[in-house]
Amino acid sequence: MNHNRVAQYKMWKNSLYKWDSYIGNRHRTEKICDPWSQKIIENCEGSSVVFNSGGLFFKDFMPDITVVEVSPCPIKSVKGMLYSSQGIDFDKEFDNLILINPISLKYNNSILDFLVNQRINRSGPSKPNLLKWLKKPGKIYLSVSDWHIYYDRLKYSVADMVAMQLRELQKTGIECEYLEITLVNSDVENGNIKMTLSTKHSII
Amino acid sequence: MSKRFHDWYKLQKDMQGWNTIPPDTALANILAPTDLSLNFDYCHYSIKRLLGAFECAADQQPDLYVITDIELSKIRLEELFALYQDCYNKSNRGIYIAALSYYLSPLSFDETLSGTYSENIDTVFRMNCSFANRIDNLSTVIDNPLQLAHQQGYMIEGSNYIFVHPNIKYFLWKD
Repeated sequence: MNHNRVAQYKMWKNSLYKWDSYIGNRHRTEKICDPWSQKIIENCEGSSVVFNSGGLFFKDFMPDITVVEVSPCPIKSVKGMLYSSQGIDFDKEFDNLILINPISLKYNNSILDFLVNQRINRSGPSKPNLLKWLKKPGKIYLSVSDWHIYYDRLKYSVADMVAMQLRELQKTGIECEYLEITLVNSDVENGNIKMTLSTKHSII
Repeated sequence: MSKRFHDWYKLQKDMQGWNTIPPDTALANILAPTDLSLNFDYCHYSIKRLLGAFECAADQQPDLYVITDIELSKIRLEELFALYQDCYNKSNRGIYIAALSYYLSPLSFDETLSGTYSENIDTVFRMNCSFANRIDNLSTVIDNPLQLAHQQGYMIEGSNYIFVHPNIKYFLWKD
């Protein structure tokens, strides 16, 4: 039974890419922050929500942050974390939405679909419409590994695929303010595609 | 592979209650009755465990190269095809190849490909493996996995949680 709980915990942790960094920082006086996270922290103004990304990492660095994961930690409840599988319904809207390599994006072929639609996904059936949580104008800080995205890798380069994603987003008024694409294994924790999206002109 | 890995895998399996998705067992069931001598230089450890008795002696030419290490899918596709051809040429009977569609990274892209991703993979693999006299496609690439999940209510891709198996699978035979 004890082993099962350990296994369950490890599996739960696996989807939260920033969890190891959070654990590593917990007892450090001088906390360590990677460049992408630092960029997010420096640019986030107001309130932020981190979804499906090990958001407690950001608790160490940001003052007004809400952490939402897909399913509860199996060993014990984690202070400061909310769970979308428990039917969370925010009245509050946030200024920023942070998504670091979210497992719920895995196998998706559309970032727009992932943001907007409440559908079954890699982490279960409970991912909400993420844009509903965001004030207008709000910012989305999204990073993902291209290995997680479903697309035709024989027809399109990673840059082509990202450009198509951004065109799809732009049709709804969601604009890309920052884009960085590096080699796929260059940043396993955060993912090699990093973008900041603005919903200033969003029609959704 | 370390003992720790095996323990971790077993823990997950026991806890979640899923069965191992056994592509290597399926392959072993195909290969074992053939009594071919096999080369395991580029294979996943599990197939070596299943078919170790058929391993070709180092000083002999193997009947079949078994190329199933999923990490190989991450190298440039052109290099992968060169490896396939090299192994094919060094074999008596041919090769078995397995790769993961999510890792493919060709140097050049072909926007004229007009099929689904799985169809395009078949087109490109057949074209680049045309050195083989006979090609058997055993692939299980799923097109638009999320769309399929919406229809049937659950996901097939990655359904054993963390461990992902190659979904592009071919025998390339000399006869």
